[in-house]
Amino acid sequence: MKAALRVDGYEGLFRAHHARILRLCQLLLADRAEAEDVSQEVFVKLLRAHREGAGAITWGPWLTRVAVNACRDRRRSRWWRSWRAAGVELDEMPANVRTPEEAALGREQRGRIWSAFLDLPPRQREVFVLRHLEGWSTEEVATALGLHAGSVKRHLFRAVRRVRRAVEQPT
Amino acid sequence: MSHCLGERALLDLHGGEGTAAARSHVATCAACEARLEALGTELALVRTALTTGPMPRATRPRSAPLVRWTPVAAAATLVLALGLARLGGAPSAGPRGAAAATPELSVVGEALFTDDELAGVATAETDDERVAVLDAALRGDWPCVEATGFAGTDCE
Repeated sequence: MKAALRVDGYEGLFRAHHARILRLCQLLLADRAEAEDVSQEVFVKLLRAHREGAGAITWGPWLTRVAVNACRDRRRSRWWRSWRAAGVELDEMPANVRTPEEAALGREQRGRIWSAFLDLPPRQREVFVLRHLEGWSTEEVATALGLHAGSVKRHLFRAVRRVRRAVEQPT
Repeated sequence: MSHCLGERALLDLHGGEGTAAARSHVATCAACEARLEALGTELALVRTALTTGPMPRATRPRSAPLVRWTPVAAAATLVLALGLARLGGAPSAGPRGAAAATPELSVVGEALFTDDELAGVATAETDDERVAVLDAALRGDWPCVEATGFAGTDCE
């Protein structure tokens, strides 16, 4: 019974978090294939942690931390770093899936935002994603990344300044 | 608080972490209120751009030519070093051949490795030790990452 509950728990967590973790990896690595690879690693670790009977853990933040670390390990790989994307090539978003906000964003502007985002140094990118896109507090980001709160704010400020420039550029 | 808020204070407020003084200032200052609203609008656009729609595709390597060729040159140096070390140890290898090759090798070596790494190779007593030193040097991280330990600054 206990084992069945664990499997259900894993499957539930997978369903609840897989899309989010995949997107997080895509944001941190800017490479779909690499992101799929790394997110698989993350869920293998989740399965292992479940099998080993990990104690009371809040799995959402745990998965995020593991994903951030796994992406950092991947980025540190020399060969991956030398082959990462240089430019941004965006597909056109299908018209039928656009929300009004998405429609307001031109392809060129999205490209500029992505370029600015991908040009962020890794640490700034991590802080920006966790603080602004994942909605973590400064303290939570600081704890997860092993930084002081002041450093988190400094990285976030720099990242925001850069991506805002991309938004503000006239089309 | 009579002065208008700086960008950092506005960002704190936008993230729900500003001070009470900053919040009360924004409540009474139309200019800061407008700046805070603009910040919110722009960051919402950024969030939409990054979290919806297609992801960008990888296009081509970003590395500068020097960085791109460094692993190749380093591997060639390693092969050369190993070959010379073997020749030096074999009875048929005369000192003339080794002496002719050594200056070129040292020039390449100095361009690729730090003084410490070269000293490590020079003081190694066996081929295995030399290989270990070169291997460790080649596995080293890029300078900016190595220098900061990835924990503090951003390699900017």
